[in-house]
Amino acid sequence: MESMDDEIMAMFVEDTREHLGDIESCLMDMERDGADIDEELVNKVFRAAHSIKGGAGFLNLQNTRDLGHKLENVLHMIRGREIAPDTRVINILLGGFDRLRSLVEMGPAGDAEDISGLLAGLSSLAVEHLPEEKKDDLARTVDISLPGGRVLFTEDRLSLDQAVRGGRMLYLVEYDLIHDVHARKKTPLDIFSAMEASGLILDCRMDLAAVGDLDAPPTNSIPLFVLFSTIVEPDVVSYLFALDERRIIPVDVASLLAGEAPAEAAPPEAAPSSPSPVPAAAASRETADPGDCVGPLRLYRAPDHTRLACAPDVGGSGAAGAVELTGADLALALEACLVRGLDVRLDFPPQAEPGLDGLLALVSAARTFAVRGLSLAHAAGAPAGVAAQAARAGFTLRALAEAGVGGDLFGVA
Amino acid sequence: MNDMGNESAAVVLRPGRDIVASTVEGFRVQWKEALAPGTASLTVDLSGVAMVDSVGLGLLIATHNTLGKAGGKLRIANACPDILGLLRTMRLDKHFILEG
Repeated sequence: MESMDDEIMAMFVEDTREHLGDIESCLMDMERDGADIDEELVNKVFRAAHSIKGGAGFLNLQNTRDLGHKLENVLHMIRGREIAPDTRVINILLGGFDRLRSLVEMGPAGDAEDISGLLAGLSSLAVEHLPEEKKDDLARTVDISLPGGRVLFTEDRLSLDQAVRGGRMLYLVEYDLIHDVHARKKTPLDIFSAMEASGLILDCRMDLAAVGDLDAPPTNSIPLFVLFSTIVEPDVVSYLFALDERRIIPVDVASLLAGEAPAEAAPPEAAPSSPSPVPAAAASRETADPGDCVGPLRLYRAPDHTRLACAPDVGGSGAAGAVELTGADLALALEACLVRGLDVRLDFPPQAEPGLDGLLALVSAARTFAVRGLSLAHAAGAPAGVAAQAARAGFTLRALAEAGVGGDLFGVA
Repeated sequence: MNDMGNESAAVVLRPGRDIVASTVEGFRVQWKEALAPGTASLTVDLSGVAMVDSVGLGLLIATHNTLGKAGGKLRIANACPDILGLLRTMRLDKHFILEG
């Protein structure tokens, strides 16, 4: 590993220790509360799993990311009162978090561990508590095809539904490992690391027959198709991964699940030029009232009712820097702001670091605010933490301008 | 360099260095020679291999395709965590047998 990666890994391990410091006592308290859950407590444990999953994705720690994702799923169902945290459930979660801690401490070597049994156990726990209609969705599949009709993926309806929750979109991404990766002096690992840092790889397929065998001349093309779920909009996806937008095909999951559209991905030219990141589900979601919490963020209406302030909810503790801000948190809060149709001032503490997915959520939101004639800005300039992250992630003024976003949002001059 | 062995009637290849564009053609020649007609079991031991690039993946897939003609399977052994994770993410574990 390079030194910067080592530094990031050390920070991740330190953060994880902090997240998991009192996780056992939190889980024991959840067991004590039983079905009468303390939402704040469950949210705290959920955010621990969510943050560790996000960091693991950024660092390409696949076992850690997968386990964090499964734990997050179960906690999401507890939060939604689909699973009651009884002794059996809590014991499974305790075992899962214990393993998560050990995987993080192992670093990249943790990916060589076999955690398939643990992942399967968590999946079974989630499935057995699904409502009957969702169990049906697990058994029913949908084909996803290229515009020409060639079926590339067959996914269960539940996975597809989950892949677009929280304002995420689904893309069918087509790479050629020779022209799009090797010729650009990148490796497949670079590509997947970038994708996993900003979304979820739902499925992947390679066209092995196109490569030929050892007797064939060296291949000039290795097609790779990825089904990718993310909050990032199409043109930002292409900017981030240096891939022609014609190779990133939006998948209309809502129509697929409703059985209203042919089961093939829409060609890029059919996609709206400025797609709204507010999904259909968000339109019916109860919007936040002034002063209401949206995840770890709180929205306040200005006295003249012309704009909203969006700030971490610190509960009067003053410990603003301790608030975790993830891309999903930001996306949800900004969606709630968009539904209200008001300008927004972000009031984050100087040390706020929303992570790469958070930066992408800001890019996506800023574009949509601009399209709607609304303003999205920081109350007192970009926080130092945001500016530092943006610089590390390679956000330049020119690149942001090309994406239709001003540099002020990221403190990039 | 590439080390070859014949352990328990199964061919084992040990490239010993990265499988990347600059090394692939050499490995291709050696692996073809190692694969006698009808060979159905081949293990590529990735001990000492830190990187497999796009061209290297192409070589592994071509080897898999050659073995497939004889009804055989490609086994990958001792891959480092990054490479193991990459092969799993790319769903190549559906085609290759990944060991250790």
